[in-house]
Amino acid sequence: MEGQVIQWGMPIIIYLFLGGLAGGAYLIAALADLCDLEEKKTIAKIGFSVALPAIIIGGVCLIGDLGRPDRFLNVLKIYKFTSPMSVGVWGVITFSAFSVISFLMIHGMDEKSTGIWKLGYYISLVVPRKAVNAVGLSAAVFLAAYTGVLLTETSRPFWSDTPFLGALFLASGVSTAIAFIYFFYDLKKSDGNGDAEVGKYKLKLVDNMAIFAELVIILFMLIELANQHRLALMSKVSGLFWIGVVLIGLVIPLLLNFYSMINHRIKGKKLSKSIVTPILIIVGGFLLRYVVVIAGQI
Amino acid sequence: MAVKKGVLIDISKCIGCRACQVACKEWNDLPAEKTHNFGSYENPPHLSGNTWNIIKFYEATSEGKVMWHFKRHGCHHCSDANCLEGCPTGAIKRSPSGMVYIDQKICIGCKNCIQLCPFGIPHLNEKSGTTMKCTGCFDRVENGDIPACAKACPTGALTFGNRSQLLAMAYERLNLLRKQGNKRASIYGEKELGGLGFFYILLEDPEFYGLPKNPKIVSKYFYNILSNSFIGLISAAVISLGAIFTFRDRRKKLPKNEQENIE
Repeated sequence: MEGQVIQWGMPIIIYLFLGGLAGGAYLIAALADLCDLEEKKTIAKIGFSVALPAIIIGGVCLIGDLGRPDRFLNVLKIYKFTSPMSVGVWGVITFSAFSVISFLMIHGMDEKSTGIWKLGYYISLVVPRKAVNAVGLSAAVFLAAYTGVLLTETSRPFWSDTPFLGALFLASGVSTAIAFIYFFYDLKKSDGNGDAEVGKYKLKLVDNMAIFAELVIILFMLIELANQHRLALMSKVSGLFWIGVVLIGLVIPLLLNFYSMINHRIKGKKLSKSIVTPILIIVGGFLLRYVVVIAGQI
Repeated sequence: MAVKKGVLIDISKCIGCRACQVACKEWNDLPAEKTHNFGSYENPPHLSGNTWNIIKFYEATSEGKVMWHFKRHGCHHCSDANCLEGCPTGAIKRSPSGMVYIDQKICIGCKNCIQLCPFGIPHLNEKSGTTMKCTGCFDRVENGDIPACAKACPTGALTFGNRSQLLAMAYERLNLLRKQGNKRASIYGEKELGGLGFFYILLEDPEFYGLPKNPKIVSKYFYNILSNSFIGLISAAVISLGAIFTFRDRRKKLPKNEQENIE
């Protein structure tokens, strides 16, 4: 495709990152709520509070990247099953609606809640909160995976050569979401009581599952690309991929998580108050989107 | 929808005069653009939001002699047009004669069509903020005229007509070229993407001209989206099951001494 410049640049990279983050945060928050992870629902509250601004900022980036942002509403005038972008936009809107409702409901679950949260309480009188979260969960999964499928469903080399981008972005979305949730949970529960330690431990455990899943998916993706003799497409971003995404964003956080979890389980140490691991995961998740989006357009 | 009308692009007849380029600019009222010498006679070097049709120059060596090939590069008006199916606003439409064009009043400039086209044809017009490409001169064709590029071509390298008739002509020409010793001559676009409206008689393999050998239909089928999402769903199911198993409150089921261990 000679003469093509980078068509989807930084705003789209940010949107793909925030879309995955929002979907992942909703997924973790909804599952935490459905499983009654904690009595005070702190993790669920933080998760929904991360998902909502993430999708709002992501949506602003998406609209801002349009050549004619003023015409954005044109995309809402039709629904096209054959257009991944049309399907995706409606998916984003559905998710956003669930995101707002779940956010209000989790913060307004107490009858004594006041102000805008009271609205969440009133909604819960009509529909059970967990039912909303369970349905919203499917919209969250859709959103997190769709950000990758959107790229696969093109004619671009690399993007269209692998069916793993949806899975990869979803796993990364969950992992970055847990990093955000863990960071805020750590701030909020700095007293380090037993309940908080259980919450942090469980977040780290699920985070490691997501990171491990990501590494497995990356392995499958590289095998697939090698089979099609398409690995060269990544040559210009290979340094960033191996050092930024794999090493800094996945392997080191995985080992750091394991280290603190083992110390906690065996030696009974408290889980360290660390911002390093969440930051590494978030940086790695962002670089993953950057590497994939750029590699498909150079 | 199968394309009814089309243009046969015969590479063996093109002399690289670029009359088609100029005619396209003229009819569509497209401005000139700043260009640069990048080591070829091609000018401008690539398509853009203001240049919808260019002649690409290729060099081939045959029996020790260097030979130039010229190829008209612009929209092919595919029967299975990825851009049209994937356009989220419905701005990309097909005229009754089969020409694929972008309705400039609807386009939002999402650049999805740019990512979907296997030939790299649509480009963003920075001034309008919308994506633009060859319209197949549908405004001329639907009024009984022929596309500006075909009208301007002095050698018959671009022939407009009913696609079925053009195809018969193409096979006749192909036989002649092969008899003349052009063993690699072929027709490109008869079946690719359901049949291209603007299709070629090539003298070399498609890859020589930068044409994809098997361009993929991306967006025609919803199950493509579903199948590409399937692995994502498996990944979601695995991670969710892991999270459910981890998050559920085991203390309710465990004996007291083990509850203490967890805490």
